[in-house]
Formats: sequence, structure tokens, C-alpha cells
Amino acid sequence: MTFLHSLLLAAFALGAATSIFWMWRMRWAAERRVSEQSFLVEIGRNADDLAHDLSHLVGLIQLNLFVADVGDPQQQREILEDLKESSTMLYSMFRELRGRRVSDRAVATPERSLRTLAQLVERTGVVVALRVEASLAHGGAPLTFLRLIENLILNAAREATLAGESRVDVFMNESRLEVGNRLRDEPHPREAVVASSPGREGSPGRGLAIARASARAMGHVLSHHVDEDYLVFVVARESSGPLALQGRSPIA
Amino acid sequence: MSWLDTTLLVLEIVLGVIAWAHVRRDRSHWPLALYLSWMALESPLRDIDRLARTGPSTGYAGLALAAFHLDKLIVFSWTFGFVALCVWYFLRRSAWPVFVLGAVVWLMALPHPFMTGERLAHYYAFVFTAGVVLSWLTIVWVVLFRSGSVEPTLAHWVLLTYACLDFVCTLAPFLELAFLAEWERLRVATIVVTSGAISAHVYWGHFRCSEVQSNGG
Repeated sequence: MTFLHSLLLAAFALGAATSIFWMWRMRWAAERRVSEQSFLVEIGRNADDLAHDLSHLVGLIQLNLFVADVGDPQQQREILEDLKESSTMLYSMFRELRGRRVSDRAVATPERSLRTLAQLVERTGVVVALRVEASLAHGGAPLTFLRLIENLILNAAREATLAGESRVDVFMNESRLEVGNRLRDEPHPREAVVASSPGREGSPGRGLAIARASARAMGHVLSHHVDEDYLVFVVARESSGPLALQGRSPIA
Repeated sequence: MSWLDTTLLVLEIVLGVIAWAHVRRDRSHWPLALYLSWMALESPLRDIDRLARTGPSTGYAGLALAAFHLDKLIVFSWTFGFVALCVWYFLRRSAWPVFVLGAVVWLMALPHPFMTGERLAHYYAFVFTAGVVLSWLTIVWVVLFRSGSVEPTLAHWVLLTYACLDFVCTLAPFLELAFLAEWERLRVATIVVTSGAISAHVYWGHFRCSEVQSNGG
């Protein structure tokens, strides 16, 4: 009888341990699945955001090529130079993202990226008033900076064009980047211009959501200031401080 | 040595060898393999240790006293080794505080002839119960509240099995399970559980191999 008791005890230990282990492993597997799914969703969102930015950039390049078609030889040479510069920088940015070596000549500094992008945007008929004191110091990749300025400047250009004043003011120094444009007259809801929403394709919301995430990835904060009909987006480590673009008249 | 002792010793040696073989597949298995090897080694070690001691424990001196203290260290190593493994595998924390605690508990058992006879037996029982409580606290915490933080592996299953056996052994006096007081009978349960651990190692090794092969193909 005592041997039977011992066998029952051993069976209990094996059964109890297996039950607890099995329950734990099932829960572990379920939590792992949830974690993997969130990871996949995140990858999908990142790919979608990158497609959004690339499509805008390719659209900008395409517009420049159309302009080159009808321009004089001098203008064609300038456009070709800008496109060479932008494609070299873009290629180097992706190489860097993939951990490949990038030559010093191809390194896209914030100033170089900003100037090239401004020239590409200007050929679409929007004046980009650029004031660069120094390159913005940041802890992100060059591609992150490009995505930030691309979204801010293209959104500003769109809004400025809708407001009837196709001009975007840009200021950059070591500590901050500012992008200003005139706003449409009331009753257009102004909150919509500065609202970030990842799901609003074709509106400034998606680009601003990407710009906000890019600023965060660079160790900065994206904030905005509205002064009557003039809007300024500021990228800086802290959202406070006087605006460089404050008081500038958006009227050319 | 009775046939039960011999059977258990052989099974413990087999389990130790299989556990080290499993380390080749899963490097994180080595602390459990070390513990299981120590479990196999401690029985013959205690038998050798007993040769140095004769007569009542209160009269030990010199080599006999040193052997007596060594025997206490071996007994405490079961409990603190097990708790250390629970901390290492379930909580994913460094186990050195458990070994420090074990050293303190052993030092407290050194006063001689104060810590002998029934007082020492009570002390052993108290430490064993505390060890069971500590190990189950770590297990319950991880299984219920941190289930996704650690991948349940073979080592966890083996620890859970021995923890279940220890749990019932601790409860036995309170449930009036008199048969558990007989070490001879309890050894049958230990033999079955050790056989279960050997089977689990063989099954897990085969299962993992199949999994790798199917992934690789």
C-alpha cells in the first residue's frame, strides 16, 4: 500500500508540473504571438510611411523633370545638377541605413539636404526663402532629417499655395529648424492644418505625424506657433524660446 | 546500499549525463545539469563522509566534527541549489544572493554541540520549508504575472516537477500522510520522478531536433 502511495505521489508531481508547465507555455505562446503581431503592424506602418515620403519625393523629381523639358539649356543643366545631387544623397542615405560605407562626398548634411530640397520645391512654383546659419545638430540618421524637412516643407508649400501666397520661410541653425507659411483665411478649420493623424492620406495630418516621429527619432520635439494668419513649425530640443521667423511678413 | 538506493543512484547518474548532453543543444541548461550531477554525487559523498563519524553527534571532535559540518553543507546545498535554480531560470536574476543566504544558514548551523539531534532536525525542516516557499513564490510570480517574459523550457519543467514533489513532502506532516515520513517509501516516488525527468530529456531532445530539421528543410 505504501508503494502505491508513493507511486500516486510521483504521478501527482509529474501531472501537476506538466499541467502548470503546459498552461504557462500556452500563455507564453499567446503573448509571443501578440508581441509578434504588434511588431509586424509596426513594420507595416513604417513601410507605409516610407512609401508616403518616397512617393512625394519621386513626385517632386518628376515635376522637376517636366520643368526641364520646357526649360532653356542653362536651366536644364541646373536641374540635372540638382537631381544628381539629390539622387546621390538619397542613395547614400539608404546605403547608410543598410550599414554600408558612404563616401564623404556623398554624405548628406542637414544644410546640403535642405538646400537641395528647397531648390527642387522652388521649381514647382513655390518660393522657399531659406536662411541657414548652421546645420541642425541632431542624433538621427540623414534619411530621418530628409523625411522631416520633406514633410514640413511640402505641407507648408501646399498650405501656402491654398492661402494664395506661394512662399515658405525656412530658418535653420545649430539648435532649431523653423518652417513658416501663411494660413488660409477663416472659416477653414486651422486645427486641421496642425493636427497629426497617421490615417489621413492626402491631408497634412499624415505628413505631420511622420514629421513628429522623425523629430522624436532625432532627439527633438516638433511644435507649432500660430500668429494671426502665419504658422510656424519649430523643431528643437525644447519647444520654448523666441521664434526666428516671428514677425516676418509672409507677404513678398 | 539497498536496491532502491542503487536504482536511484543509477538513475541520477543517467539523468546527469543526459542533462549535460542536452547542454550541447541548449547552453542555458548547464546550471540544471550541474545541480543534477551534484544530486547524483552527494549520496556517495555522504556515505564517505559518514565513515569519518561514529557515535552520538554531540561527542564529535576534530575530523568527525569537520565531516559533520560538511554533511550539513551538503544537506543545505539541496535546498539553496534548488532555490538558486528557480531564481536563475524563472526570475532571470543572478543567484548569488541565494548562495550568500545559504552560507549564512550553514554558519548558523555550526555551533556545536548546540546544533545536533532534534534541534538540528527541526532546523533542517525549517530551512527545507522556507526553501519550498521561496521556490514556489518565484514560480507563481513568473507563471501568473510574468508568463510572457521567460520561454518555458525543459529546465523549467524539471524544476516544476521537483517543486511539486517538495511541496507535497512539506505538506505531508500537516495532512497526516504518515507514509511520507518513511524515507524508504518516499524514494520510490523520487525514482519515478527521476525517470520522468530522464524521459522528458529524451523526448525534448527528439522534439527539438525534429523542429530544427523541419525548419531547416
